[in-house]
Amino acid sequence: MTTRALLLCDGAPAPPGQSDPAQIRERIDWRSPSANVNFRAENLDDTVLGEIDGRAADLIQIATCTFAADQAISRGGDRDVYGSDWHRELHLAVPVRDPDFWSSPEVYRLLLDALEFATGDTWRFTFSTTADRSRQLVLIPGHQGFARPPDYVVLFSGGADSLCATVELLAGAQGRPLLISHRSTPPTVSRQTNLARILQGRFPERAPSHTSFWIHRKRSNPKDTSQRTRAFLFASLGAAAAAQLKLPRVIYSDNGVVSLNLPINRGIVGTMASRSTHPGFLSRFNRLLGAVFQRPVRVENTLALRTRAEALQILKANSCADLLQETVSCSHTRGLSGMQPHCGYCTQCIDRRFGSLAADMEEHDLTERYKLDAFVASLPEGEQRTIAVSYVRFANRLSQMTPEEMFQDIPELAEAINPESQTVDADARAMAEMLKRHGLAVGNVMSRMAQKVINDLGHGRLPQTCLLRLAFGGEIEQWPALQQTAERIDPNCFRREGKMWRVRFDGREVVVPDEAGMVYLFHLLSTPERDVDVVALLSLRSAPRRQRRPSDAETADLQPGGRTAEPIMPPKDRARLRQRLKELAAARSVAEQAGNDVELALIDKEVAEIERELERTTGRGGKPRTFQDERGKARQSVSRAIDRARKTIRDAHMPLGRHLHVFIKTGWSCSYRPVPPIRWSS
Amino acid sequence: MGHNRIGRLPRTLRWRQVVSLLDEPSLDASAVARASSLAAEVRLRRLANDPTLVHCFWILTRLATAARQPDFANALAEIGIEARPDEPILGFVARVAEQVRNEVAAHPESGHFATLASLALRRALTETIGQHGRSLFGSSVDDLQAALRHYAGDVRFGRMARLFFGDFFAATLGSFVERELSNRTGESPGLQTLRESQEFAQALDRYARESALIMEEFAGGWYGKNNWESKGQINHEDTAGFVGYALRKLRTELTRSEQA
Repeated sequence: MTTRALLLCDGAPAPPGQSDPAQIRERIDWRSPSANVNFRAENLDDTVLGEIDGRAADLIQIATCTFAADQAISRGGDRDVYGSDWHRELHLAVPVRDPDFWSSPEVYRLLLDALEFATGDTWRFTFSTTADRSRQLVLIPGHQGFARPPDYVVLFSGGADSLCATVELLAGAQGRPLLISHRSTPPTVSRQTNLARILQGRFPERAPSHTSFWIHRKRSNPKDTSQRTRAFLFASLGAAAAAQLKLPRVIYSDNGVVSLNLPINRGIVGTMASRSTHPGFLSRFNRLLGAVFQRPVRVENTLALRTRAEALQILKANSCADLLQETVSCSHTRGLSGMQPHCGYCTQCIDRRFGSLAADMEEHDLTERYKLDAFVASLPEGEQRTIAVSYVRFANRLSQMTPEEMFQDIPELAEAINPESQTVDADARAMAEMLKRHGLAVGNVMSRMAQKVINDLGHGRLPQTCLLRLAFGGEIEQWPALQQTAERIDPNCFRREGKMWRVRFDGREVVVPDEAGMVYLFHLLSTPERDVDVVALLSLRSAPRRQRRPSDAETADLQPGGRTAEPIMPPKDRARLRQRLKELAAARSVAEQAGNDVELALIDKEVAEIERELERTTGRGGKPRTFQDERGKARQSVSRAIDRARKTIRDAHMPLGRHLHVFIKTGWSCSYRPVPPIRWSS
Repeated sequence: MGHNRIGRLPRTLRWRQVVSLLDEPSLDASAVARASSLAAEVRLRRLANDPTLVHCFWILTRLATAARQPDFANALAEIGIEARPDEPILGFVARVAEQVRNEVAAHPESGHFATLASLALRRALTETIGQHGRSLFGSSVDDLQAALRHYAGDVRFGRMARLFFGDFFAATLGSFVERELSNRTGESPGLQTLRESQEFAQALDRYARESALIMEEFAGGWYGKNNWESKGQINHEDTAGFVGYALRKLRTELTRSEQA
């Protein structure tokens, strides 16, 4: 059954006649103390804020409400095979300054048209009047706020495409842009501001201003994260800014392939593929803008007919290739480090990786910046494998199709055609040719990457489910010449090679990615028939690679019967700290009486530090924590890491995985005792 | 690419059987199609009353009828499609998609089937043009009218209905199976490479389209009779009756294949 919801926004009253018990009711609020949406603007370059025009304010108000509503109501789980929950019926009550205007049939129809195209949901609005002037939004800088007024607005996400579009405009001397960013999550903040600052330095003549909007859900996690309304919100922010500043252009760019975002497999139906900059959405949104604003404001995608690789060439052509590494395209904004900001498997990451390789910009988009290297790493079952496999399969199809076949076999393309255009056929052909170029570029990248690892690929050493192996196959039995090589090959090998480990066993060689447990396995295989204490193993991870051999003294101390039962903090030291706490308590009362705030602050700081240290060295029931506790943690950490590494190896090389499972023992000390004994080379 | 929601198959016994068939050493598209239809049986039965599927097929019938009229543009306007005679065919298909979208938005309960029906309608139109020997590029609504007029006879309309239901059925099966197909690639003995995965997807598509062959004869008969009785004004109610019957026939065809 379709999910129906009524969302009362910003204190709007419930519309009359809404008594459906099956309807979910939610409140959306960003002003009261219990607000569930964060909504504010931050001007990063200018100081004077102007008052926003009524229609523009209403547009932002409506867009914010739809964005919040979108996240408040679930679209169902990933096993909703019929899309029963994907398409929701959302009824929003929204206070605006001009409810009659927004309720007029033409404007209302255009509003729904744009939203329904972007989201696939059914929308309804009940507009009421907001009389309170204090509720008026104060967001956009007025002309007087700028040292030099901007000439156009660029929607600046901090991704590669928005950077390419901005650089092209700046280098093309098309005036000074105002960059508008939407800050949905904290990790996006630093990269947007950093990039804006760099652009200001590189193009001082046309240094862009930068304004950010913080609009995101707070207090609770969103019930849905697909954010199909984000495009409407982002475009509305840009259009409102442009209208306020009397600028006619808003640049909202994605490369053409991303913009069309055709379903890469048939399991992706309708708006399961986002339509942020889809030509159909932009044309509908522009029609809405035509009705809302008296002065013409138009949102356009300057990269609409370029592939990712062609868009990236803009950076190269304008000596800005190095800026690519400052951008992040990944759809996962949480759980990734600054060093590895890309998951490597979402469609954005896969497309970016292929794009940068096709544009020969690998040096500015390093493999190490991706958590998963889909080309050579085993692709886990689920989203990771589905996306990578579908992406390449779809690109392969595109590369073999004529424009005619594309428009026949991919009927989704019809939605990108504007029937009002005077050049429908030419537009369609240009789109099809771009898709073909994309398909060919992906094929070219696959071939180049395969050539790089041809030995591993040919001998079946790559994981069975990595992209290159899936595309090109490769089994060791296909290569009998390997057995005839003159060079003597050690039958068993466990060797680190950069970020990978080359492992040979039982006549088969594979390459597996590095992880914590690999170092432990390596050490154990190098020192068979010996018990190695877990703390000694753990120290291998913190020592520099060349010194990864635990000292005898270190190991001896940690052997059973060593000093493992001793407390981490000697009793004398503990007593000394407790005595110091008493002294500080006395000193504090003196400082309090004297009203000496500085002294008080210093005392409090020292007390806090001592309490932290005591807490760290105190175990359960107030007893001193011993080295045994530390060893317990080390044991757990090492055992888990070894288990994970064994699983990784088992996935790539089942016989070796079984061998390690049988002959490696974990516990307080770990050992490797193979029967019969085996020699490993490194 | 933008953001994509990637789905999985439900964990019920019947859907697990579909997945297990993908793991068979010798992949059989017909067996996978049958198992999928069985797993989705309850929902597929409800399609007989699906307003968006009925609407899309109704548009197709009315387009065929309109093509026989001397004033094609006026006949199109009667079903809510504004088009100029010299309009490029791709622009016209976009207009049809737009007309259908309004209906789809009013029925969110149709879920993904609304989208799949709309896609099937577009494809039936572009294939009809192709089968009439014209290119999609450079053809106009006039050419479409000529092609549709060619298919507006009783027997030939059956061919267009087959295109529509074949594509709808293929897309429906694809929307189920391709949730898992990429995932089994590299794991299943019959899906070791991308090529094998692609070939299986094509085999499944072909099987679904071939199953719709059964539609051709009786769709033509139904169209001829109803079009004559209604004086070219076939309505949604009549169409709904036919769609329900057609889907039943398709299911029967699948069962027959199994027994064979």
